[in-house]
Formats: sequence, C-alpha cells, structure tokens
Amino acid sequence: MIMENPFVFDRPNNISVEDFIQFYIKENIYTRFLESTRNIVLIGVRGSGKTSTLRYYSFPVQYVNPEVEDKFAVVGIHIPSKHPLFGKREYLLYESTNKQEVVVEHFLCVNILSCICDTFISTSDALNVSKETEEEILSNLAFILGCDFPKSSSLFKSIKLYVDKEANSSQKRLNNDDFESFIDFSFSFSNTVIPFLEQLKLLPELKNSHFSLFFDDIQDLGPIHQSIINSWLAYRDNKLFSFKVATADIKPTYVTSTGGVILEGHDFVKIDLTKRLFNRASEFNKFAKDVVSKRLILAGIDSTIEDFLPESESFSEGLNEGKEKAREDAYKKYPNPSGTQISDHVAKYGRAIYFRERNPKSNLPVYSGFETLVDISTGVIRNLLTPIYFMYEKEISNTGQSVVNVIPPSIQRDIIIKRSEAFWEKIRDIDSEIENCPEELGKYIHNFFDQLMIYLKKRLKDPDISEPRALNFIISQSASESEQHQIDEIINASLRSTLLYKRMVSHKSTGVKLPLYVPNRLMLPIHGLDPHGQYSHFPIPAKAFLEAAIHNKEIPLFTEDESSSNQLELIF
Amino acid sequence: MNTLITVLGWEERFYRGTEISIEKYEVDHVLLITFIDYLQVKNMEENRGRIEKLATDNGISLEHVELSYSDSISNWRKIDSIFNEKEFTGAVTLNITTIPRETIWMLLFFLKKAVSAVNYIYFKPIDYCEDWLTKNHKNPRLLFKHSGVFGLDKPLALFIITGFDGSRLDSLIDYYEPAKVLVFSQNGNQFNNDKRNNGLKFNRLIDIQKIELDSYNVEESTEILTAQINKHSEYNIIISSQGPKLSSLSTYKNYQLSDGRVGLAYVPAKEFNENYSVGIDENYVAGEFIL
Repeated sequence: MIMENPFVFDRPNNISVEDFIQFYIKENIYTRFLESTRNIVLIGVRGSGKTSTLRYYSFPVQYVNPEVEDKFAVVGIHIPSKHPLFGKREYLLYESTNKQEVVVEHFLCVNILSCICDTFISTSDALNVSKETEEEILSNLAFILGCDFPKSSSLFKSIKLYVDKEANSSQKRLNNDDFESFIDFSFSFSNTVIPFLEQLKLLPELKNSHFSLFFDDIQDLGPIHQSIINSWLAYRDNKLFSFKVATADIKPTYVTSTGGVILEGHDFVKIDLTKRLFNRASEFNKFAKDVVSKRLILAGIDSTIEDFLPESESFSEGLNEGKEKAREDAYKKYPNPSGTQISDHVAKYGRAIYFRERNPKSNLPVYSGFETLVDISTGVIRNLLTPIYFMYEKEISNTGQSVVNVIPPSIQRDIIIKRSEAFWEKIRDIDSEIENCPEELGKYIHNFFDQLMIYLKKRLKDPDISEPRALNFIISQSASESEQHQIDEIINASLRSTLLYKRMVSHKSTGVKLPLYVPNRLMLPIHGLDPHGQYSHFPIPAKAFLEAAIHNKEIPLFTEDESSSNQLELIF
Repeated sequence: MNTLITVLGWEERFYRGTEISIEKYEVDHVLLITFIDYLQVKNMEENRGRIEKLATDNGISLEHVELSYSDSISNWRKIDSIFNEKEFTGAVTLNITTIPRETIWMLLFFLKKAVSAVNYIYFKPIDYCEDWLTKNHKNPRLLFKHSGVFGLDKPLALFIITGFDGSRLDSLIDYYEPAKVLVFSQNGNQFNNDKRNNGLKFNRLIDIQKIELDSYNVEESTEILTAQINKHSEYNIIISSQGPKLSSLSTYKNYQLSDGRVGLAYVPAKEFNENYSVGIDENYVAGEFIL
C-alpha cells in the first residue's frame, strides 16, 4: 500500500494492521517488558510512540506478525481511553465517593469488555470456536452476569451486542432522573472482566494464555478513573492478566481508590520512553533513520534519506567554514596537540563559530537536512514526521508531481521557520493552551523562554565559554519555599505544554538526583540558534530563573558549572 | 406572576437589557443569578444595586441566587433544589444576554420540569472590545445530564459553532481528538465577524467541514444543525456553541430533537475581559422556546 503522503502521523489506531506492521519500527529494548506478564507503566510525552508501541504488542498485530512464534502466550488487548464515554461527569453528582467509583468502574469495564470483543472479532480466524464451547461460554456468562445473549451471532459478536446494549442503557439511566438506579446494576472488574477472561480459557488456543490489558493515554481520564486502574494494578496475582498502562502525564498519580499507593518495583515496572530524548549514543537518531527510511521504501521513493532531505549548500559550507576556523584556533591553542585535542576542539566550537559569526542582519540559516530535522524534533517522533509531512505536501503542490523524490532545502527551511514561528505564537498565548493557566503565569512562561533565547545567544557568542551550544539546563541553588513553588508552577506548565522536556540525572560525584530540562528545539530556528546542541548543560540559579520569568530580566552568564565534579549522568 | 431569569453582568447591555425585558414581559419577579467569583469585576456591585433599586421602584420582587462559576457541581445541585421547590404561575423569560451557555442549558433543563415554554430575549452590544474576550480556558466538559448516548464503536464528530475566541475552538479539538469537525461559523460582517471569527488552525490532519449559518435566527440555525446531525448518524456527536449566545438555544433544541443522543460541551474560561463589550443595541432578538 502506498499512502498519499508517506509521512502522515495519524493516530496509529486509524491504520490497518497490515499497514501498521509495515510502518512500525520495533524497539527491542522494550520487548522484554511488554511481552512479560508483569504490570508496566509506560511513560512518554505526546507523540513519543506510546500508542504505536502498545498497538504493536496487541493481539491483532502479533497474530499476523511473522516474527511472533507463540501467538497465544500473551494476548494483548489494546484499550484506548480517548472515548467520549469517559468525558461523562454525571458520577460527580453522587455525593458518595463509593457511588462515584461504581459509575466510573462501570464505564471502564464496558470499554474493556468491548475492546476484548473487538480484539477477537478482528481476528476471527485465530480461534477455533466449536459450537459446544461457544454455547458453554455463553451459558456460563449468562448465568454469571444474569443476562441473555443474542443467539444468532458468533461468540464475540453476541457478547459485544450485550455490552453495546448495556452501554446504551446505562448512559440513558445516567442522564435520566432516576439515576440512583444506576447503582443497582453495574459492571465491576471482578464481576464482569475477570469472569469473562476466565471463560475465555475454555477456548483451546487460549487455555494457557495470559491476558495483557493495555490502557492507552490514561492521562486523558479523570483522577477517579486513574485511581481505579491503579487499584487493579495492585492485584499482585498476575497469572490470568496484567496491565500495561501508558501515560503522557508528567507526574502520573499512583494513588488507588482506597487511598493507598502502588509501588514501582512491587506493583509495576516503569518504562520511560523519554530517555531516548537525551541519549549521547544517538539512539533516537538511529530510530528516526529507520522510521523515515522505511516510509521512503514503502512509498516507492528511490532516494536515500540524505538525498531525500538534502542539506543546503550554504548551510553545509557555513558549517564547514566554522569547522575550519575552529581547527585553526585549535592549532593556535594547542601548538603541540596530543590525542584528540584538535578534533575535540573542532567538535565543540565548529558549529558555534558558524552560528556566532553569521551577520545578525542576514537571513536565517537555511535549516535543512535530515540531521537538522532530527535535532529539531527533540527526540519526539511526531515532531520529526509532522514537518516532513508538510514539506512533502508543499513540494507536491509546488511541482504538481504525484511522487516526491527530494525535498529542496528551501522548502525544508520554510516549513521549519513557519513551524518555529507558530511555536512562538503558542508560547505567547500559552495561557490559552493549558488548562488553568492564569494570564500572569502565561506571561512568566513567555518571559522565561524569551530570556532563555537571549541567554543561549550570549553563550553562543562568548568565545571563552567551554560549551557554547549547550541547550539543556538544571536549576541550581536553593530557593525559599514560596520561590520554589513559583518555579514549579512555571516548569510544570511548560512541561505539560511540551515547551520543555524533563529527564532525571544525578551528579556523578555525589549521586544527588535532580531534573535536567530540555527546551523544545523548535523554538530555536526563528532565533537563528543551533538546534544541534551539545551533550552538556548549564545551571540557572533559582533566583535568576525567577528574575527572568517574573521581571523579564536577562539571565546572567555564571561561572561554568561543568567541572568534572559537577558532571551529570542520566538515570535509566 | 411573570418571572425574568438573568445573570448579573458587568457589561453596559446588562442593566438596560434587564429594564427593557421587565417592561416588555410585564415582569413581576426577577430571579437574579450572581456568580460570586466575578463580583469583584468592575460595575458588578453597582449593577446589582441598580437592579435592586429598579425592582423596589417598580414593585417587583427580587430573588437572589448565588452560584460559583468555578463549581459546576454545586451549581447544578443548587439550581436543582431551588427549581424543585418553585412553582411558576406566569410566563418565564430568560434574558440570555449575560447568562453563560452552560447555565442557559442547565436552566432550560430544570425549567422543562415546570413549564412547557419560555420566552427568550437577547441584546447585542454596539461593539465588542478589540482585545481578547476570554482567557485561561479550562478543559471542555460535557454538561451534566446532557452528555449524550455514545456508541462504543462510532467515531466522534465535533460540531462547533464558532465565535471570536479561537483558542476555545482549538482547546475543544485538542481535547476530544475527533475524527471529524464541523465548524459552523456566523455569516455576515457584523462586529468584523469575517476577521475575528477565524480562529481555526486549518493545517490540522483531520477532516474539517465548514458551514455558514446565522445564529441570530434560532429556527434557521436549528434546522441547519438538525440536517447535519441526521447526516452524521454514524458518528458520536458532541456539540459546542461558542458563537453568538443565541446559538446555545439552537444547540439545545437539537439536543432535544436527537432524544439525548448528542452531547453538549462547554469550554469554561476563567478570565473575562472587563471591557468585553460596549453599549447595547436595543433592537433585541426575542422569541419563544418550546421545552
């Protein structure tokens, strides 16, 4: 299948299983966890591939995936949370928390049962369901649930019809005056989902199966929904089922509906998809290459990535000239160089010299080339594919051809600059973007990022600074409780709106853990800054952070805090 | 006894609009809803005093109901309990000019239990302020008891009647991630509508259909919406009205016509511009709404 635009980054649920398998790039580091029978919490920012990852391990994909040998060992059920059913708020009208939970659990279970049925309806040839077994399961379930199933349909279609009917009637009950009656009959995990899974074991293929329930995007659910799911995670008997829960929440809640807390290591294993954002080993670079190459091949585009997304000549020449100058400087600085002194110096300062010495009045650099796009994506796959999608569209409309073999640098630059401009528009109106963001907080966020750009330019232009292209920062020095509260508000709102990303690091010398903040690199091109960055960071003292945010004051250049005793390492 | 229900506002059109409504509908009783979290906005206290004096001078009984804009659950419970005990013996009129859309829908829901029809009246301003109108939006929310009946496998179509607050439009789309969006925009160039009613980012990767309507004509816009709801029977539908206040009536009518199948969504804002509008156009829009 050739997609009209091979770089479309649609919701992964919207593409067919066959197309999905072709497009998906498997990341083996997660396999061990996602194929396990343990509870997993998968954390990743929006667009980082959570849904794709869950879908890949779901049964409909695994069943047709030739790489999977035992297709029935772990049966993954993909359970999206983005259904308007979960936007219903009538449960809040019950004064009793217990009753609220009953309603919420009911709709969560409706969704789970529906997704289990969909899983097996879409893979109807996978199971050999004899008439006797079908009747036995339906009869058992009719007894357990106290219901009748339509007879004329297959096993899963019958159950699905029943679930549909219940979903419909329970929604009506909830919207009617007698909504108290809702409480009298409702689904719970233990009275519907568990018996259903147990009955499925009567099917020969599923006799030894483990059911893995994949909850996707649970950050879109309300706190009560999340606490109920957490309570389910607290079941430690994972013989029959386990949960894989994906969230984009920067601070997921681990509270259960009884007020307890689920514990990492005991109740679940945490996988952080954001770790590849800042890896020195360029794991993401390799992954991005695989993703784009595969799409080029599937679209029948006979170009390498470098040919498809070429770097502009002026950009390449500028970077090369910068490197040459850095080399000359290095030989002056180290007349008798040893080891990698020269190449280290060139790597550190070459690009900085190009960006620093550009005439401030000249046009912005022709940002282009695959590497630049990867840099700007800040390690989020959606941030990489979306601009390429728009570049492809623009080239098609410019040339009128049906297939694009190359995206000229000028188009790459135009789209990058436009998206960078739009990103700054978002920053300017950030209070409209985030829920519960007062205008004042929006202004602080805008001020801070404005000042951060000024600061990054100062670093870039300072010839004495050792890491002139560092983009990531930590917040250093202590702040009072109220100051820390203000900093947290600004940082958390920036994280929620993906202006910033966060990674936990620790001081190599002391082992003290602290957050490292990575600005979304899409904000850099419009300021003529280098999105490539350096594997380094700089400290912003708490007071300077607040001065920048609240009073729009410049962030001063402080003494370098990058000595070996202060080096940081990523926590995995 | 004829009753007028309205919400205390700070805009210039609030007081004069109430005066005209009282005269037109020969009102004996005013139920004045005050959102106490906005009492500090300029002119609010003053307008409350003016309404109290207007009522006293004209022998009209005045009933205060205090709600909190930030607490939709308490508001629902409070209106429920007040309306449960209330009997309306004469005509009931809603001056919807300053009533938030969510409150209009809530009032219609509870009034339905007591009366078969209400009068509505709406006053346009002379102009809206050039600057922002509302800010700091919260996540969209479905109205209690109007949250639709959704099919488990149906894709979602979002119907949005757009207004001058583009960011409310974007927050709806971002929040619901619909498969399809139908944007109903106000036709004409009143209040620079053509320039201001353009908040949609069209470079989205979703199916967006644009339809024009005249929200000031409740019957006609109701028909346009009904036709589209019928056409999209294979979708779950959520409707949100952001356009002229009168569009909240056509959306509610469609909720009724759909037998509760569609959901009504509201995007609350925390900040309103104190200079939201200027003056009052005394050529009001009024009519009867069958419940």
